[in-house]
Amino acid sequence: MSIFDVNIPSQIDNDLTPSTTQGASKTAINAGLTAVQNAAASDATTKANAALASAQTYADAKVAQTITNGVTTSAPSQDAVFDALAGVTSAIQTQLDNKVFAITFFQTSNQSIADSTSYFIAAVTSPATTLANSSMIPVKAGTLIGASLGGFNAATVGSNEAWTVKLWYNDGANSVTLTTNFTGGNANRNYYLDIDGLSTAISDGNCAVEFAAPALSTNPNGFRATATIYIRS
Amino acid sequence: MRKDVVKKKQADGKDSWVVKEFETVSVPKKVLKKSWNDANGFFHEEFEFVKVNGEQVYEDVEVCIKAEVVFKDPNEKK
Repeated sequence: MSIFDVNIPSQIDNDLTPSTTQGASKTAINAGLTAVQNAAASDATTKANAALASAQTYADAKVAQTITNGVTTSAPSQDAVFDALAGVTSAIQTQLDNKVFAITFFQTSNQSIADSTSYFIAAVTSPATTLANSSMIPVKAGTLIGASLGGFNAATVGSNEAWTVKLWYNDGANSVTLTTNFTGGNANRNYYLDIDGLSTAISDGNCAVEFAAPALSTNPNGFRATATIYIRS
Repeated sequence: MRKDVVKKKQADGKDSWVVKEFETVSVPKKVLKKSWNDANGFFHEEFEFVKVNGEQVYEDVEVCIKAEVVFKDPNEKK
């Protein structure tokens, strides 16, 4: 037999072919490796899923469905911002729809003020000393919400006793006392008194503002009054 | 027309005269219906015009039609 007759691959195969015992070990090892691989893959997946869930929870917590003053660690959602803007727009529109208009009552003459006398102003040259339609101006219905009173003295400045000021409305059927503490008679120039907190329904009708002077130590001798009322329609 | 003249010494010592003129005029008659203080403390009055058979009732009342303070005696002959 020549060297060329030797079946070398067969021989090698025989050498490398595991015995029955060796085959079992290899199978066991392979199974072990597969188990380890599967376990590792499962663990990696579990950890990845947990990390993803944690990241998602964190990200979700950074977007809130509310807008809260003082909160600086999360941002409002687009939906929350949209709703808030819609609410603000609606509120502004409501305010615009509920217009506030102002009516000014005034006199243009300088008036010497007698003791314990009421002076009624509307849009007049000289104030009237009685309430009458001829000394009133028409005012549209609405809710009276405020007033600004003014006093001016072009000559002798009066003493600082407090006057009472009333608004007469509904053609003189109603009055509301705006203040019992008007001291414009004592002002040399530009006395103003703002009155807030009124909420009085008035009807279409004539109005006048009454400045009721008390008994005075010194009577102002060149007094002019103004009054502006604010009405929400 | 009735005129009241009251002499008065001002706080600064000046003599003055408070002059008020009254006249009887016919005005719509009204009576106080109710008065109240609202929640913010403002005092309100509501009057009712007196009507008979739907017609407004008028009444003659003497009202002050002019009131002023002068610093020259109005009774002094010119």
